[in-house]
Amino acid sequence: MQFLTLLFTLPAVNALLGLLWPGHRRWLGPLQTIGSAVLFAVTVGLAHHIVTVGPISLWQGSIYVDALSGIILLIIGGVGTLAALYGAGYMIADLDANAPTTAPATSAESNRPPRRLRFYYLLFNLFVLTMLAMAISGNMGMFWMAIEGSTMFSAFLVGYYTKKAPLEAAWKYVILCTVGIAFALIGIVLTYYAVLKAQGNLAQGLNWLYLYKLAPKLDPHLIKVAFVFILVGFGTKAGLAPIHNWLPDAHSESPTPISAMLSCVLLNCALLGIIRYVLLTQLVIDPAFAQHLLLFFGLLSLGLAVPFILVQQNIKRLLAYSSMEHIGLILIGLGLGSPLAVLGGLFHMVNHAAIKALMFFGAGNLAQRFQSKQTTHIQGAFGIMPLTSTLLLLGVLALCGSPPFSVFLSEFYILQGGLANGHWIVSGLTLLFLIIIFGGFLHTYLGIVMGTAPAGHHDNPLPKGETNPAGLLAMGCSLVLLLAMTWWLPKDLNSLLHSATDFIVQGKGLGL
Amino acid sequence: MSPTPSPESMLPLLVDYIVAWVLICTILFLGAQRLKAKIQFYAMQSLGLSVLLGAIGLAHQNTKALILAVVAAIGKCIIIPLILRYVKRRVPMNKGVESYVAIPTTMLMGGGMIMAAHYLTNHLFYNQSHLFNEMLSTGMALVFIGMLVMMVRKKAFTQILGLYVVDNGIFCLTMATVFEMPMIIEMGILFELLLGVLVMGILVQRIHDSFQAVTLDELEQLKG
Repeated sequence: MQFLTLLFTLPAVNALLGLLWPGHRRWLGPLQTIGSAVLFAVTVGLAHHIVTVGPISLWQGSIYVDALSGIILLIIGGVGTLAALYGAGYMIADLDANAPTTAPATSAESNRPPRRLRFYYLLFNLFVLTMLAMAISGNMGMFWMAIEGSTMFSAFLVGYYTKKAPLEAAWKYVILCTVGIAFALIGIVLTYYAVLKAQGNLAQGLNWLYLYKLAPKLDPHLIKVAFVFILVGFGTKAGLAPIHNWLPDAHSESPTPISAMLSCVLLNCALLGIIRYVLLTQLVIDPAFAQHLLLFFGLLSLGLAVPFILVQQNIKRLLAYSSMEHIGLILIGLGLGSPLAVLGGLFHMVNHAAIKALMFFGAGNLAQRFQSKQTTHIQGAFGIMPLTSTLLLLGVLALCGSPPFSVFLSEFYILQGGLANGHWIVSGLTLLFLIIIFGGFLHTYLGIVMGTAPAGHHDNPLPKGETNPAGLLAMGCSLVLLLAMTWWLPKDLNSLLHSATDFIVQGKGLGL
Repeated sequence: MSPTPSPESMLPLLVDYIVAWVLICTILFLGAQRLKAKIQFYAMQSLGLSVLLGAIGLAHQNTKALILAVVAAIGKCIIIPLILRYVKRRVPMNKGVESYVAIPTTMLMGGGMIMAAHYLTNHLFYNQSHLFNEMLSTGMALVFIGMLVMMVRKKAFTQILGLYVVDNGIFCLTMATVFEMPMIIEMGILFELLLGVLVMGILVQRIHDSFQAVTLDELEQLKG
């Protein structure tokens, strides 16, 4: 309980601190980083509590924190800290570069955080808060509210630079996600209707735990229809294939720390809702129904990402399509349904969060120095930003699943789990897509790092050296994490992953 | 001699009238030439739905439903239209509705959707009560029509209205099927709607400031 209280007070304190900080603007970033790090420590403590004591269920299961939530909480805390650390070095420089040309402020005033920076930290922390609420809510309705709230708070972060492209991205993001969420609401109403028809306890009718217990009595047809609505609804927010249009725009136009938060955290949070509902459908009807839908959408996302990755010339859009690819991969892991594949899918969530944060941070550094996001302009980065370039190149290898990074392990688990279950076609297609994407990424990034800049684009040769030491530290942390998860996977995380897998595959831990 | 009708027996007739009111408002909403009129028809449609919830709540002596009806009426008929009108006034756009499809055609399409929704519910749920079918078909029709508005109208502003018609549709669907969700969830949904109209209103304003236009034709830079 005290963990949960802390979990919600910390981002609120951070938000207020960001809004009201009276001192020098240079200190705001580090302070926020410390705040986020404390939040991360709390999530680690909570994860340990879940492993040693067991799931927490409060208010008749309205708040339910189990292994699955634990994984998501760790991702929120971890990526939140990295993004705050990166933002400490990135936001002020980026704001100065993007500021509308106004009269220069007096020196005393210019040292205080500008309004836009305060606004940024306020929204950033509220965004984190809504995602934490998604992770711990044990009630479909509350989950819905949290997911809708996250859209509202992050909309201004996506459209943070009030220019044409970011505003367009923000508009698409809000409209598409809100419509999607409306569909999810229909799914929730239908689920509640099924509870009503089964004469269940209406007060608890939307609590996941209660739904799982009531599952044998629920009307299978209603649940089937509801699942489709839920999959489309939360799937919009998770960036599944035919309804992914907002994703590349939002990820590419928002400030880099927010791109990382959207890609690494928000998508996973939306997946959490889908996973919980999949478990319900598996308890009500034949598991094959949900699994086939997941496989279909997973393969579609993965397959559709391939051509866009191959031809993409905007470095952040490239990463956005890669997020779509990885979400597809996670869904395939979950859809294959064998314990190994599900474990791989969950592990891939964690790995993808770590690696995608690194990639976005690197891309943000390059974009800031080259003042462009076009890969045709960003060439020969090694001579200009050697550390960022090295980290990025290692990151590409990790992102595409080469050993010794832990992404390799999770992708291997998914494929192996599929093959062991006789899903030759799915595994074969997945492998094929992954290989093509590997080629595409390596080609683009080798150009970025080693290529020669086209003459005449930059009037003056770009200054050499790194701009964002805090950002480099954040990138280094992700890389170390990825290596650590290969050999020394933390015990708590390991048991979280395993008990979440048992939970999804067998409904274990529900007392069924 | 005729006995005084009980509230229970009056209900189906009342529901008939209210549903007719809601549908007429929806068609007029589609046909409205000006944004101001559109906002008014949205408010009237929401009023109809709130009264419906209140009436059923009254007939079944359900206090929760009554409270919810009052809150919904305040939120959807007063606050949201006020915010929308404020945004409309702040953003100096031309007041007409611009559409990819001619307005009479969309009205016809809307009518067709109402009929389709009616047909669908009568065939899918033929053994259900009259009230159930009526409200379910209205809800479905509103969802379809809201989607239609979001697709064919050119202005970002009209998309917000379309979205809120979809939401009214879901409100009606909820009434038809489960009648009411748990109180906290209903309140949460209303709160999100209010938050949504604020966020989208500010976005429309900002889009207007940087694009000098609020038609969606302009919002097509980001591709691929």
